[in-house]
Order: sequence, then structure tokens, then C-alpha cells
Amino acid sequence: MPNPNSAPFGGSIYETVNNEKYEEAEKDINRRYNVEDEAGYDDDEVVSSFSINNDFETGGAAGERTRGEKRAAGERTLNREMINQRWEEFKHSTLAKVVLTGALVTLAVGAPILTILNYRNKQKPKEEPAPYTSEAPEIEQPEITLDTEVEDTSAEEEKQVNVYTGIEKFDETVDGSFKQYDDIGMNGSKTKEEGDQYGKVSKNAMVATDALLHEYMDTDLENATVEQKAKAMEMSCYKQASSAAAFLISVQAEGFKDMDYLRAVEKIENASEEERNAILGMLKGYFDNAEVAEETVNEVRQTLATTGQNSEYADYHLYRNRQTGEAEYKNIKTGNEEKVLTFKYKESTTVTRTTRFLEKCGNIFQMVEIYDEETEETTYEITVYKYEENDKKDPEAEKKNMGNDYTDVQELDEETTPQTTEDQNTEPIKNLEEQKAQDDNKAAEDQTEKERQAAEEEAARKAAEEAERAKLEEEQRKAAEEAAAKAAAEKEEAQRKAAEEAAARQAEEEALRKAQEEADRKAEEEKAHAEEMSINDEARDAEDWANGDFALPGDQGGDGLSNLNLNNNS
Amino acid sequence: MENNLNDRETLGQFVDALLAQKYPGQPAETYKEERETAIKELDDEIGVAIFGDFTPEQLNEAGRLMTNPQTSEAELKNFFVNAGVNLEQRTAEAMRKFAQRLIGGNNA
Repeated sequence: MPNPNSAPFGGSIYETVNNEKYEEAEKDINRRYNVEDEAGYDDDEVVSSFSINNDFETGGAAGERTRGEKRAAGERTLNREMINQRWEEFKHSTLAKVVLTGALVTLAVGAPILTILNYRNKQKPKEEPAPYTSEAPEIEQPEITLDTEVEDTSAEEEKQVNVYTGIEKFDETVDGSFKQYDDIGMNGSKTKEEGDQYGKVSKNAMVATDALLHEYMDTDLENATVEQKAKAMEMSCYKQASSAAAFLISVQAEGFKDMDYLRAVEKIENASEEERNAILGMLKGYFDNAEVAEETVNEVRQTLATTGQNSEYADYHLYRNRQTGEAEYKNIKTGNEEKVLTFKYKESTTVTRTTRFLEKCGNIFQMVEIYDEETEETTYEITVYKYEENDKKDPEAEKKNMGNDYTDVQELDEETTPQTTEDQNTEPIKNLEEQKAQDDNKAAEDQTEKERQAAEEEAARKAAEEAERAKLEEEQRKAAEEAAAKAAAEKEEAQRKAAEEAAARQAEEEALRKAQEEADRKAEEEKAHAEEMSINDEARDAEDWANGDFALPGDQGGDGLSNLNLNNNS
Repeated sequence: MENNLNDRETLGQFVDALLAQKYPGQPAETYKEERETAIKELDDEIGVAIFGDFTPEQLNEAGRLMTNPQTSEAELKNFFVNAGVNLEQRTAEAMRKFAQRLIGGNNA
């Protein structure tokens, strides 16, 4: 998306110039051709003397051509200036970055050209560098003055001891995911020695991952789990050094800065819909090209089978180990042609993964488990042996005779040299009984190994279950405690409330009782008073009657009867 | 191209990988000049691959879109789609041809 605060596509630089240039160019075309056409020139007329500074497509202006051709060439020349300008502008866009990335991915999937070229170059050593030719006349042709004698370093390589520690290098560059991949395959920013080594690793990783990627081709990404998608992303990064870098650029553009597996999972899970679609769209490109890739992978496998490059596969694990930082890796060229690689691990999962991979790829190898009592550490040493011609004739026989030796050695004596599978394979099998015994031995060893692995897995499963159960119990206990505490609190609160209510009720009743008593007392007093008043009235009436006052009781005097004197005879 | 380090690095890495195949075992210093030239040439060829078939009108329209800060990436992408240009495919094809030519015609 354009950034309004800057010139997103270089617009501020080119906009005015381009428009002016184009207008001039258009006028020039009209002036030079259209006017002439209108004047009656025939485009098919051959005009050998009419030379135009032609450009990229026709490779020059020499030769007889028609006016129409030259006109088209002239237009192209003028267009070319605009093309360059447009390209300069376009390069600054995010879209260009995505396009370049997609192109590299497409290139890597459709034709892992580097891998195939490398193989074919090996088969047919160059006597001299291919001449550098360019069809673009604007660019000055470089004069190639390279030493045409390719130095034979094979003898030197035999003696070479390459020690890849990897982990330190990974840590140095862990700040940027791009550099993580950069340092395994790109020479530019490295010393020669580093560049050579990393380049070699990168190349090997390419081949190995071509094969591995094939395994994921059957996955339906649309319906894949998040982990599968992340794995596919991871695989795509291993695919080729260039595509790995390209993919990372793309991923970075989508906001996925770190590209190891687990973080990829996390990023995808948290990605927006748009981001997911962008990633999946790119990944789907791999699957759309599955058939092509399959051919390529098969060719690579054949290449490896005929050249005995087991290390191509083994180096893949170097890369993995460098990512995880879990294992120490040593790539040792011992000078013994039979012994191709030895690498040591301290992490059993890596060993299992490695041995499975080596076995799947048809390698001959030996795995030795060494336990160090002092450090109480276990080291797994895998030695890969060269793939003998005799071993490849019959895949089934090869598998039987291979006898990959998983030797479980406790406290291995340092001076003990384990019998190599190579020895086993090169010794002629005397008779069928011997072969059978060997097969049985191999089967027994395989069975033992399987049982050991099964036991380990079972133990791990039980431990996990136990941990889960303990965790569950603890959770239940905590829940029960919390529930009890809550119930007690609630009960206490209820009791408190009930007590308060009872007290309030009692106080109310007391108040009512007191009010009633007061009312009763007052009523009693009034009654007593009324009786007293009544007695007094009767006494007074009696006295009045005695005195001849015949007013009726209650007569307040003054009305009819109270004035009646019944005893007056006069 | 120099203004866009990411792209230059990407192309540089691609070219590095090719040159390493072309000159196995030789130090990168011996083909340093070729590397620089190759990067420029590859860059140029990709540009031609993308814009080479455009008419002047289309080029002008592309310029207008790209120099307009309001142009969205989707609009720009649509422009190429409508013009019948598969950007990734053309870029990949240009790079493939370039690789073939750089390493050797018989090898690819």
C-alpha cells in the first residue's frame, strides 16, 4: 500500500519527468512516422538505409527491414525508456516484492534449477566457463576473464575436517529471520571459508528438502490443520536457498518475521484472514506443481544414488539442529572413503528423526549410543557409510544386506571400534545359512529397537498420564477447598443475617409490647377516673335529691326537669 | 534497484547461487564484477518481462497509478491482471532464462 508520507513508487522523482518524456516521445513518433504515413509512405517498403537505434528484442538496427518494422522498433525504443521508468517505479512497491518472491517460489517449485544444474555440472565438468551473452545492448557486456582451470579439490576434501557448530552462528543472527537463512546459503556477507561451507550446506539442504517436500505434496492445504500449514511453510523455506530467502521476504512482508516452526504456527493462528490467504496462496503454488517437483525429486534421488552423496541428506539435519540448537554436529571427512559422515547428537528425538531419514533414503549407517557416567549424558553417534555399487542393484536385497546397526552400547570403550555396516556389507555372504542368520540378527535387533522405543514411548505416556492425573487431582482438591470455603462463608453470612433479623424482630416486638402496655395502662387509668367521676356524680345527685333538687343525674342544670320542684305545695 | 535493498539482496542471492554453480570451488572475489553485472542485467530483464509488452498507453497508465499516492496495491495488481500480465509467472520465466544463460544452455 502506498505510504502517503513518502513517494511510494518513486513517484515524486519520476512523475513529472515521465509525463513530459512520454509526451515528447509521442510527438516524436507522430512526427517521424505518422506524418509520413499520412503523406503516403508504405509500411511494407524496405528501407535499408533507415536506421533506428533499436533495442532489446531485435538485437540491433542493422539489416534491411521494412518501414513498418522499423517504426515498431522505434516505438519500442521509446517505450523502452518508459519501461525502464515504470520498472524503477514498480520496484519500490510492496507488490514488486511479493512478485519477486512468488517468482522465486515458482521457479523453485517448477524447476529446482540450481539443484539440477549442479548435478549436471558435476557429471560434465566445465572445461571453460560458458560465454556470457546478453541480449540487452544497454548493458555493457562484461568481459569474462576467469581462470578456466577448475582446481581439483577432491583430494583436499578427503582430508578436510569440517566442524559445524552452527549454534553460535545461529545465535549471532537470531535477530532477523532472514539472516538465519542467509547464513546457511548465501556467500555475499560471509568470509570465503564461511561462504563455502554455508553454501555447501545450503546446497545439500536443497537436495534433501526437495525430497522431503515431496512428502507434503499429498497434503491438502485447504483442509490442513494449522500445524500442517506451518509445516508446509517450514518445508518451503528449506526448499532452496533462494526460495527460502524469497519466501522469508514474502513472509516478512505479511508480517511473519520469524519463521521457525513453532513461531510459524503461532503466527498463522494469529494471522488475519487476508494474511492467511496470502500465505496459503503461495503455498498452494507448491502443490499445483507437484508433478514437476516429483520428477525433479526422483532425478535428485537417482543422482544421489549414483554418486553416493549421503551427506546431502545428512546435512539437512545440520540445518535442523542449527535451528533448534539442541545438537552438536560434526561433519568429518576422515580420509576414509568408506566413512562419509559422523555426527553426534545429545537429543534422542533428533537421533530418531535422523536415523529414520537416513534409512528412508537408503543410506548405510550405524548408530551408537554412548553413555558417559561422569556427566551422565548420553551421546548418539551416527556414522554414515558410502553407498556401494553392489548395494544398489536390488533394492530388496540392498535393504536386507544393509543391516543398519543400531548398537545400544552402555559405557562404550573409547578404543572399541564398532563393527561397521560397511564391513558387514562388503563381506561376501558365504552361504544361505549365514545370510539367514544375518537377517535374523537384523530382525532381532530391529525388534529390540522397536521394543525399546515402544517401552520408552509407553513410559513417557504413563508419565504424562500420571502428571495429568496429579494435575487433575490437585485441581479437584483446590476446587473442593474453594467450594467448602465459599459454603462456610455463605453459611456464616446467612447466620449473621438471621441473627440480625431476629434481633430486629425482637426489638420490634418489645416496642409493640411496651406500646400496648402503655395503652392498656392509660385505658385503665381513664376507666378508673371515669368510675371515680361516676361515683362522685351519684353522691352529688343523692345529696341534691335530699335537698329537693330533683334534677336528673347528668342534668347540667338549667334545662326543664332540673328546675322542677316536686315538693313545692303552695 | 540500489534504492531497494531487499530486492537487490534477493536478486543478489539468486545470482550468487547461480555463480556458485557456475564456478564451483572458486572464491566469490573472482567473479565479483560478473556478479554485479549479472544482478543489473537480471533486474533489467525482469523489468522488460513485466512491462515489455505494454503499449505506450498502458505504460502511461501504469506510471499514473504508481506515482499516485492514493493508489492501493489491489488497484495496481488489478491493472496488471486486466492487462493480461501474470507478474509472478513473467518474473519467474525471466529469471529461469537468465539462469539458463548464465550457467550454460545445456544444463537447463
